[in-house]
Amino acid sequence: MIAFLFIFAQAAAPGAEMAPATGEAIAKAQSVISSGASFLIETQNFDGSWGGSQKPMIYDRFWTFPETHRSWQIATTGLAVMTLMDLPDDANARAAVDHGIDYITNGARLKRPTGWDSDNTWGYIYGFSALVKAAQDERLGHGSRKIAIEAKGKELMQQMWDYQAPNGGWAYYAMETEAVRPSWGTSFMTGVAVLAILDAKQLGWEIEEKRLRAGIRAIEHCRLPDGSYTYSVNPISVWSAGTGIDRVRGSLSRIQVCNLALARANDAGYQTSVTTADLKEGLALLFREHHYLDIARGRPQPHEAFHYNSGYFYYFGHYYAGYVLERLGPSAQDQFLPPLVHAIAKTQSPDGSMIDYFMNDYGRPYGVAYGVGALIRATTSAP
Amino acid sequence: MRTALLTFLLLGAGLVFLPNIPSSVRAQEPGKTETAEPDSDPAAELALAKRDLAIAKLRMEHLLSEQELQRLQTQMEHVNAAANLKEYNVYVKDAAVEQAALELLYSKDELADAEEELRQLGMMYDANNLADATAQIVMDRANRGIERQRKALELAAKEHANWVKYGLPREFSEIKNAEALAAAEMNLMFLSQTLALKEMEVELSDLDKEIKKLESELSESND
Repeated sequence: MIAFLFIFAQAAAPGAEMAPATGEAIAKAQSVISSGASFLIETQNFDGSWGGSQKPMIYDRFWTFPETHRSWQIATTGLAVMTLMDLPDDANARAAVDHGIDYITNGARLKRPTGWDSDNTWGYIYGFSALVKAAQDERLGHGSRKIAIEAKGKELMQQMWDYQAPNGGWAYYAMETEAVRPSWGTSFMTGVAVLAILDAKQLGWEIEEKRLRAGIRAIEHCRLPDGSYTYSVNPISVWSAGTGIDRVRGSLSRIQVCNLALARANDAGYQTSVTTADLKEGLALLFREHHYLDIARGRPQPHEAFHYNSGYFYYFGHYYAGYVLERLGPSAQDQFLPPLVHAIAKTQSPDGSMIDYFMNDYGRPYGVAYGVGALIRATTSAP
Repeated sequence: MRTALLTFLLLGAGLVFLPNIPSSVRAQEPGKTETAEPDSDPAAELALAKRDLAIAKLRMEHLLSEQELQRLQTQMEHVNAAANLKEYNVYVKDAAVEQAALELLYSKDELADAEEELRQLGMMYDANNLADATAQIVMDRANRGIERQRKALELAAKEHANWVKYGLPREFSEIKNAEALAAAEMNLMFLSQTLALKEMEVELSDLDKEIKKLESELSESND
């Protein structure tokens, strides 16, 4: 582990042309990444997963369906292995990744918890994302594990298609209809799904082209003139006046993943409206209005902060901001890396953990996976 | 007037067949048949008396039905009141006391839950360096919740004690009084019915006598 830290520090050493604040930010990021990665490795469950239904807190008594927890556990594990895969070679990290991937590939087929609760989509989407990333990773992409990764990945992809709403989006409840195919779609979950499907397509996996296009269209449909995205895929996308969620201050985390997905779709030949300037503007909005996420972080009730921000928006948004920053490259580092590192570093506990929302035993591992993942991606393109 | 109205109602409902009465004869109060004047028409007077008798018989029938209904109603009310009293003594009273105790327990548990919630919030925030403001906001909110619940429990405890001391005896007294009231109403009803029946019997008897008298007079005049 110490060797890994040394190598990583050397690789990401500040260059001569870097602003002093950026150099400090990179150094700080390295420390946060190291501490967070250690936390993830040390807290991996015996079966290879992360998180779980244990340690329920006061607001967790509502979630009693076992399959809901299995879905969250797969999603948390997917996030953790994606972040650990991004670390340079480290024996402990590699072992944790192998174990985590095996947990996802060996698990029973993930089912819907109940009529209204379709949280299984979180397991599908982040389980699928992790396996697509694993399939891209040459260190994992061989032997029986490679076969298992592809087989389970394709099973999860089929389940994702099954849960895509007619409006092209994905979401995690089916309260309105309780039908087999849910009717609700959200911009942000659709963004996560589209990113993974684009990667799968690049791998040569057979995808349903019409459905991918429907997903991209759904995100584009949610885009509002002020640069924000509506929470849900609505028939007509309407900007929220006053304290609503469908405006920049309630959309800070959604902007990043949706912008990234549309930009990646553009790369893949799908016509979307997002430009490099839009990606930069999205990051500028995130940090200009960041206090809305700061206020929400740690709030125990969903959507209880201003503009319906939830605690769990925090790391999700920063994770994809890290990817956006990676994509923008060194030209954007001076402007956005210091605030991104600061926003994550200030939330890290001495044990390396991070948490934005208290949720059984998932909050810390997913928090660290997102937070550390964001910094790894953001510093990847550092000069 | 009363008879005229009743007649009108019964005729309107098509329930009564009345004998033909000469149009020269005006309606009279029952039992007040005018004595035959020297130039009077005995046949018309007899018809008038028979009409009054028919109406009186209908009234009698109506009275009997009405009384039967009243009797059943008051008897049932008394039976119900007596059953309520019995049930109250057998189990309702005890169940009410237990229910009140349960409500008190709910209030106690809610305070315990609020205290537990505060304790867990403390655990959650202590383990993290979350923004002090957020932690303070949520902790203050939970503390206010405890204060509210503490007051609610105090009130519930007072209400429980007061109900056992005052409310329960008053409830018992109300049920007991209701039974006594129902018994008194039933007695009054029997008396009223007996009286009304007696009056009607007298009226019918008078009318019978009057008719017999008129028939006799008519027979004599024909002779």
